[in-house]
Amino acid sequence: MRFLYKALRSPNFWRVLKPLVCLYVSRERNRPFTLWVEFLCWVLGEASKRKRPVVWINSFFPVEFVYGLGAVPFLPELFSAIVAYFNWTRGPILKGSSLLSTDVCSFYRCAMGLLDYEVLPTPDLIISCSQICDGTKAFYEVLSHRMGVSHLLLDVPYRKDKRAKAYIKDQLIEIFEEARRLLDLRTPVEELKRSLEIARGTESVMREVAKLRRAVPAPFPGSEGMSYVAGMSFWSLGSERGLRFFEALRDRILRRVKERRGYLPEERFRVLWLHHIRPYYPNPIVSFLNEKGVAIAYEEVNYPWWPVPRGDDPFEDLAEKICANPWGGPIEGRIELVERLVEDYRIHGVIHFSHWGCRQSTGGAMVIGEVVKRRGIPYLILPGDGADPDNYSPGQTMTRLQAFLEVLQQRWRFMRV
Amino acid sequence: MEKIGYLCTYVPVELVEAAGFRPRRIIPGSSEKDEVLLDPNVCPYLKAVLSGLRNESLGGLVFINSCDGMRRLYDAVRWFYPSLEVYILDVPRSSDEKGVLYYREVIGDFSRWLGDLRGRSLSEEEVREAIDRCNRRRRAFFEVLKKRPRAGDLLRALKGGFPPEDLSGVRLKEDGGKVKVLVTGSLLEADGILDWLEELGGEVLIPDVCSGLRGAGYVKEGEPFLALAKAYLEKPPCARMKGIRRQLLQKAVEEVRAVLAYIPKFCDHYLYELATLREICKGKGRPLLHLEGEYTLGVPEGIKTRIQAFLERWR
Repeated sequence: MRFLYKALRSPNFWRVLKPLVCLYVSRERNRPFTLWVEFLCWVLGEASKRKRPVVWINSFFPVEFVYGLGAVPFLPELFSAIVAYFNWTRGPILKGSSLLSTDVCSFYRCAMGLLDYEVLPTPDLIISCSQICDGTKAFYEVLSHRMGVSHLLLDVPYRKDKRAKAYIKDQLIEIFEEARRLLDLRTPVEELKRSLEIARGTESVMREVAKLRRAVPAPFPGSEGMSYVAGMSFWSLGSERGLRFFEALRDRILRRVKERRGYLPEERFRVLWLHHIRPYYPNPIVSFLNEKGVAIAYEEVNYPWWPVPRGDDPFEDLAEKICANPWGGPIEGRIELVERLVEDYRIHGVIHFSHWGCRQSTGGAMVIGEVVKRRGIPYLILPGDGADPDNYSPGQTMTRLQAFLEVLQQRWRFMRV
Repeated sequence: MEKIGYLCTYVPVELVEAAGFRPRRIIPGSSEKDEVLLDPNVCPYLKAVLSGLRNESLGGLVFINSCDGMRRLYDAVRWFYPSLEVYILDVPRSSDEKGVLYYREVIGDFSRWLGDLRGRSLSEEEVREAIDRCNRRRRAFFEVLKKRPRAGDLLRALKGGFPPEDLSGVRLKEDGGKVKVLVTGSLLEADGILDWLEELGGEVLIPDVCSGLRGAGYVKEGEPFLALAKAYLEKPPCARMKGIRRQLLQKAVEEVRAVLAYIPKFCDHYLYELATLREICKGKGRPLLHLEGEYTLGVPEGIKTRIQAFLERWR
């Protein structure tokens, strides 16, 4: 295993692995998935080459900013999700939990534990923003001290007015200058503008994807939306690879929509999945829903919330985008989003996945539930953990899902499918 | 006088007083918690606040954008107690010039909300008078602090908020304890822990907790909103603030023989800070006891035993 850990930080490993893995996954004839794997090999390979500085960021810090700096972005939370996908989180979470409490987010505990395995690309700088959870500031601050790497924090206010935008913009300008100085980069602002332009182009394709997914039957599984699609939107926005990925995804979904083909053989109910994640380790949730004809028609995480048009000034553009985040600020933003999704995707039921340690999302689960139930839509709060398989209770989860299915059947018993 | 409740030390109480209300820090006197309207995953203090609102008579309630739990509590209160007037103050995480200027604007808006609440806007004179009044109370408090008060008494005196109005219940220490202890963390509702510590021969330095000495220092002269913004952002910081706690903890740990971290369950800021605290304590060879708070108000026997065993080792 030590050899493998060491290999993960070698550029040659990724150079050799990339064509092999891409060839392997291409057998599934899922071009977007192949592009995701290719992207991962590329970004991790670039990070291990160390020709360009590596910047660690959190998921909600605009990644296009890092591409615009001319650096390689690395997202520890997403890497933890990938580790969970391979069911390898137990060891790192155990190590992470000895430093952090078991009550904090398991994605961060996993990332903290992974430091000891020395598999993560060493950062030259850490940038995080305080949106949308407290962990993003605290975790990266701890990391910065442990690793002896500078940490720049973008303090995102709760409010979304002009003053808040100006406060964010001023900080972004400062962070851009400070990052260039710390990383000894001469990148002009034009590079940032170019990256934002690619990001805007990608966002417009993502909007098309979201629109296509309104089709009945659901053309694309939400479980995949919450894995590699969300991964690409957090990690690749602002890069050419990201744009290619979303174009391929749009084309794939478009074909299915034209053929009126759903991702399930028989779609009985359409549900909306709330929260940005799902459990990534092996578990029967998705297969249970699939078997029962319950399609995850859409997931909160992939909603294209970015405002259009935005200003020409890149910092203004980013400040506007950050302020528009529906998960920041009062819960009304999220309520409006959920109501829109319920309408647009003709939703029969809503599942709120309450990830252990995620106060920002689970804290609002009751209020969201009230809103959904008022519309006569069945609502399920599904407690669990996205990364820690030991914090997942299969029996309880399946019982809840069974009961939810019964409620769906009862509520929509006269519905024609 | 109508009471305005507030939930965090970053609320400039001077403005509440200037508007003619009585500011009251909400630290519920009952350990009953609302487990239904907030997720079980949220801190017990917030659940106790939500539960306590049923029995409170308040003219308004002021929140701070302090943590995820608090933001969600603000949502839940608006949703489930729609008749209660509420306000959330957007405190920046940075106390640099940008942060201060931003907070000045936020404070300005807060004063307008208070003005609307009482039906007449606040005058600069009213604000200045309230600042003077609070500064006088601060002076009295800092005088008592110099005389080495008992930590438990101090905490009880601060339960209604800072600067406190009544210090008559604060007794002074008769002699110094054998083991100097730093008590740090967020809200310490079980003030009996400090009594127990001192009873066992520990000497608690200034309790570094939200319900302890995290109030703002003197508000200086000058433009009132700017002066308030500065005073409140430069006060002893909460762990939510950007990168200044580490140095303070290092200094504080150096001055003691043992450290006790009291952190309510699910309090992210301090649970993350625990990693820093562990590192500092390890580096300086100081033992650390981490106690998890459940908003019990009293001191459970299990916690007493742990404190006893902890002190035994270092006495």
